[in-house]
Amino acid sequence: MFESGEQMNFLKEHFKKILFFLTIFILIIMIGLSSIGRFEGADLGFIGNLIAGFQKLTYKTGNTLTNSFYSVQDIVKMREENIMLTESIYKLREQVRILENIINKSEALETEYEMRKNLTYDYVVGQVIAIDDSNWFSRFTIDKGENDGIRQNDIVIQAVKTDDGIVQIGLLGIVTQTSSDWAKVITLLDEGCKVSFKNIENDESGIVQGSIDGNVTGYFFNSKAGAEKGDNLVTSGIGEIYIPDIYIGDVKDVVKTTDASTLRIIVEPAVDFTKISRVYVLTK
Amino acid sequence: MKKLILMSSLIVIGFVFQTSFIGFFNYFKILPNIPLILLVIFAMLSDGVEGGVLGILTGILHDAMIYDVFGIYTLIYFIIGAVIGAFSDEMLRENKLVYSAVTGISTVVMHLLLFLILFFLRFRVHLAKSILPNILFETALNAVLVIFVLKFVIYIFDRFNVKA
Repeated sequence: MFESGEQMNFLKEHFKKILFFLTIFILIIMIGLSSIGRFEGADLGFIGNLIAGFQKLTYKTGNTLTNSFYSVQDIVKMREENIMLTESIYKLREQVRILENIINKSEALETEYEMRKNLTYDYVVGQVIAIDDSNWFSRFTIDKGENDGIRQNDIVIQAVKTDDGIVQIGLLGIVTQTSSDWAKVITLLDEGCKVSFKNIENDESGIVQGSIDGNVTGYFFNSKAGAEKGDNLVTSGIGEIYIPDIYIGDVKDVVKTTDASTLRIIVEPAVDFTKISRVYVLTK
Repeated sequence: MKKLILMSSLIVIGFVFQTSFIGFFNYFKILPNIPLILLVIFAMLSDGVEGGVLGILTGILHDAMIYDVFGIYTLIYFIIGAVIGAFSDEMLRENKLVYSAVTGISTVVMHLLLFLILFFLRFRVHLAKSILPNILFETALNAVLVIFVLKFVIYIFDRFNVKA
């Protein structure tokens, strides 16, 4: 009886401390379970949707404000850009003519060209509503969720819509979690994002990954594989998460690793991650 | 209760502002952390329990709305809120420099805890040295900004007849 009384006194005296350490312990367990996918995390339900609504409104306001500021600045640059783009179009048209001429001479190439040209994806257009481009992570949230057909592991790209369908600009990331009306996306720049790639120039595959220092780096599966600056990288489709042939970016630099037998490539992503607003989610 | 509801509302507004507006001014990856600044102010004006609750609220918002690993920010903000709240009685609340110092220390602690957690989650944290200058600038920015946010908070408290 005396001992239980002492215990009660001890609990009363140290209640706050016990609560503090117990909460920390529970949260650590939650982090552990969540990191291995055993715990989905909190879906804030109605409150989450309400906050997402506010975020959408705030993001739009910020976007409009900065766009109007930049549009005034951009008027001066527009003329120069227009001349440059017109020249680029002539160059690209010439390139297309040459490539089509080559393709048409080979039946196999023509078939593949037609197949890829007519390849269409089901997609949902989403608007970024919140972004964390802080030092440690690179994530954003979009205003479309399960109600719009978005699922975990759907691919998110930047693209433009034309009369013939969407034309991809490049890979942005992947949907990590969905709620009814919004979804979380992890970008290619984030340490937690790993993508299997294929080098178009030599068909060699490997893995690229974002990092805390902001660089996207990668390595080849084949230690003898080489790469040159400017090589184009696309998703390989290995692992069945990423659809093949989504443009990732170019090789910016090639660095020999410490054991000198393998190469590490530094990738310049095709997308400017500081200017993302409207995104395309490829639904499976 | 009114005070807790007001503080919680301001934390939600601060979170929305941080994630959906302030990013447009992210030129050099140096941004203030408004939810952290608010949490420090509110924890200083509360006790350990209230500070912990507000910390959990701040963290849950981050974890639930942005990140896929649940609990990272909840743990960090809970520790910061609870510790500051527990020692708030012993601090000179009238001195604004104390708020600056506590905010600066909290920013550093937040990044240290992130470093530790990410280390255990097998992130390549050795690459974090490249973001050290950004963290230092953020610390300074938060320490300065807290003075203005504190003035705003006191103004809001007055408007709602809440005792700071």
